[in-house]
Amino acid sequence: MLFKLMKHEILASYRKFLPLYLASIGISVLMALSVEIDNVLLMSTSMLFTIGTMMMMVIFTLYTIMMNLGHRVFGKPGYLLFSTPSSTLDILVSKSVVNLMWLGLSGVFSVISVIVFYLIAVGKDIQLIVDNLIAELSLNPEIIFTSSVSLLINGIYTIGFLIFLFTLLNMIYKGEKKIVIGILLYFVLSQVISLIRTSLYRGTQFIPILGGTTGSAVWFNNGLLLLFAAIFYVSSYFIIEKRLELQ
Amino acid sequence: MDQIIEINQLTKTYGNLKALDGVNLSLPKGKIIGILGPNGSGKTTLIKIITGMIKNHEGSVLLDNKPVSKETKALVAYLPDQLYFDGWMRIKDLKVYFKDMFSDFDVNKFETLQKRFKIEDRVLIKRLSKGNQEKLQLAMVLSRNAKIYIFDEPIGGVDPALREIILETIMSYRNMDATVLLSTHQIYDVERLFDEVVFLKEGKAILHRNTKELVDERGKSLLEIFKEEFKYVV
Repeated sequence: MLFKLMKHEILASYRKFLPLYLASIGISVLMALSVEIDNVLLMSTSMLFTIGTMMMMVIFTLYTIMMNLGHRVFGKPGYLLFSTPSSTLDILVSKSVVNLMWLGLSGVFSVISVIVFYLIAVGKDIQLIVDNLIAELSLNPEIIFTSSVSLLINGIYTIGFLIFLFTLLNMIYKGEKKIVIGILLYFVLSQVISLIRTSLYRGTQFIPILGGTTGSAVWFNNGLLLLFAAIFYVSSYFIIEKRLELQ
Repeated sequence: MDQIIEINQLTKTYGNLKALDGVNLSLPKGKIIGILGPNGSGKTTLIKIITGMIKNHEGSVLLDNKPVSKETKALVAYLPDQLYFDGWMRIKDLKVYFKDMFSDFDVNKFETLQKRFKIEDRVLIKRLSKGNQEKLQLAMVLSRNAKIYIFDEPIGGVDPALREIILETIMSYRNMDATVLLSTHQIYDVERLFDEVVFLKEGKAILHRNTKELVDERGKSLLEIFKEEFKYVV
């Protein structure tokens, strides 16, 4: 049942994400080609458009993931989802894995778009770029490993946070102003987590700058995010399992 | 007689309001049972608890001797009182969804119903008229060979022609061995369908009887009995 749920979770969103990914690469190509015309203003505009496209991708990705975890679970489509013979765990795992995948893919396609823009606009040989990249990676493998794991943990935390936010919202509020209450709840939860993180950092010797700059601080931050993510997933599971109420 | 649904001391509160108040019901296999009561009597809450859409309640519900779980959801074909289609879905997507999720889904039966309702296959569901979406949802539910069918207000707010089509389709296309629970507050024209009726009033099950016995005993139609029980003017 888990794989069937995942299949339909992918089917529900791929028609939105794939054109977006293709469009982001297409816009990068067009912008990069326009840069070839020797004009500073045009180049600046092209860069702005490319950055704007990346930002749109981030906003669209987060919006779609929020719809997938909110409306499509606790809204009217939830009646279909929860009438299937699947467990709460199946539903949570399928939603988490697939939406984490979309989050990751959006990041990957953003990077691809930037690389495409760079390749065409700057005109460097792709082989040279790949060689330089491999050389950098081989010099600092631990940084690459730490960054990759940190990104993954941040993704898991973000999805867990959103699932918990919507689950909690469904449990505590049954009225018509769900969006307003949801935004308020988001700020309250964010503040509470921020306070807990700050107080925990104070108990350590680390100086947290943007989540930690030293290796130990990064891993401490990662551990903390994983702990929060675990709390979010487990709490969401028990709320859905014991106190689900579709309106 | 074998019972398919056993409900004991079921209570559900919303704040200070008791939507269900100590409901005890024992519903037999293979019967068509009307869950009748005015708006706000607890029909939808009862159905949501049986189908697992509400889990936060007191008391117990057993379906085929099992508590509500993913196993019991496989037994139940549920038509809620609202449309549950997702914006991205086309009919063929919905068909694949039901085929994947419910092992008792009969594609041929669905296609027969689709033809009967004259619903096109290619369009996005959200572009269908509300009436066609209701018929489509009914066709999906009836295309399952389920042990229990639950229809929550299937004829609420529909025109008389569609109402007739819906009732006739439910009676003709259900799995004939299954138990059917149909909730409504519109008693007119449906009393002939029910083997048994349950009256819900202010969250309490005030009556559960064989329809024919009840009508014969009181010498009145079901509609008149309903009005009498709920203090309506005949």
